[in-house]
Amino acid sequence: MRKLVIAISMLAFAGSAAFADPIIDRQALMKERGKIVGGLAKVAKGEDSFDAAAVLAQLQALQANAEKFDVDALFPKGSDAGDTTAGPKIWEDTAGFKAAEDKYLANVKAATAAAPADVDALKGQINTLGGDCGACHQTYRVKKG
Amino acid sequence: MPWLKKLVGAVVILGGVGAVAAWALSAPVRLDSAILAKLGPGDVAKGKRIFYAGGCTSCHAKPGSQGDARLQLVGGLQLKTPFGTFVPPNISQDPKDGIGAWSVEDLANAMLKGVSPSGEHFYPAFPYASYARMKPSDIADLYAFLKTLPAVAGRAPGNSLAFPFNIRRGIGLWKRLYLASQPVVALADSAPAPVVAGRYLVEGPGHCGECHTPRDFAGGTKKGEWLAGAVAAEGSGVVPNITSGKGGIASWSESDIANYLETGFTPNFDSVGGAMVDVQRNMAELTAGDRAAIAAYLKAVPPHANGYPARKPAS
Repeated sequence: MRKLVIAISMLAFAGSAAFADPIIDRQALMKERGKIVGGLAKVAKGEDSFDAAAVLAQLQALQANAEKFDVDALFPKGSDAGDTTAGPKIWEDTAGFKAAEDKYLANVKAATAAAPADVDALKGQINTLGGDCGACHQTYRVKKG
Repeated sequence: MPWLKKLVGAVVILGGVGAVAAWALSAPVRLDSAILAKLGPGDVAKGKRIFYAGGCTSCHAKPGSQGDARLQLVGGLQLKTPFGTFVPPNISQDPKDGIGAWSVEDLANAMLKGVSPSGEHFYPAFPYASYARMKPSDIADLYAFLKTLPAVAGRAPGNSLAFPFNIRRGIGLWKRLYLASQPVVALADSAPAPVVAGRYLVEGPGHCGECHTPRDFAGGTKKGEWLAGAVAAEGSGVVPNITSGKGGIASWSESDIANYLETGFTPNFDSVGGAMVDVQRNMAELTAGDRAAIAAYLKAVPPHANGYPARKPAS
């Protein structure tokens, strides 16, 4: 019985540790985000052909990704240490960071709602979203060696 | 003890000679008339290209400006470096607070020699060590474009620097070490035209090396590690290696580089960040040909391993 309790508590601990690494979680979200944008950008650049339904599905995936971006859960205090490029400004100006993320989410939602009908419409939306990426990374990310 | 007197005398004389020499060597040097004669009339449209290639607005617009506000060059950004805090001044057309009263020769002396109209040295946070490689006619074009921008009143606060960097005259000695109009990377006569054009944009107006090249103890760029990346002058981060050496951008194609400069997306669809965001915004204003030239040059520069220390393992 005692062994079982220990085993369960160890499992629980391992489980919570796996879920409780916000650095890994937020990096996974960012990687997914980049991958989706990458696919859309290929269409915008004419490297892949434009298929309205496929584009909309990608935008919806991007929106689902953006909605999962919970700043409080992903950037708790203390998660500036370790293998991360999260900049100190995230914690110095959390409101500004959240506002930048909200702006991005609003633009993703607008793109999904607009459901681009052609390459030019998509191009405009990718430009807007790319600007949001840069605006946030300008202030809130610090590249390290 | 007559020998001691002699020694003291010798030291005083040597010290005096040294001081006189340092004073002479540190004097601001203006452009000669042969260079000034090459300025020419100046062309507004061409000057706009130079304005964006040179990134003037990134430091001289009010921090955080968007859209047309980026053309109001009122200054006020704070560049916090190990030497102290540099504050880019007002370079709008306001005749009192800005540079509205400057002649084209004044602008040329500022950009190519780092000398102000009143004959003082500018600090090289103003990247004239790069601008010194620019063609005089490009300065005249830039002057013509700057004349079309608004006059904005208001003075930014001055620099606040630690000793001995607060002694402006000392910059004259720094210039003797680091100020030259020759290109950094020697190219063969047979080098493709885009590589040569890219060299000019990167080494001159673009002043890419100012952030992407590590600096020595006196704050000069290490030409032996040109564009190898560096510890950022501001904050705690690094500026990436943009050569094809280890840690650099060997895996990027020329079109990857040009696309990054246009859209801000890396080949892996990460996005531009940090101070490069403003730079990329400026690069997007250039022509596709200019961006392709920059890419061609970057693929042609000698490869170097990262010019910054490897990251400490996470604790």
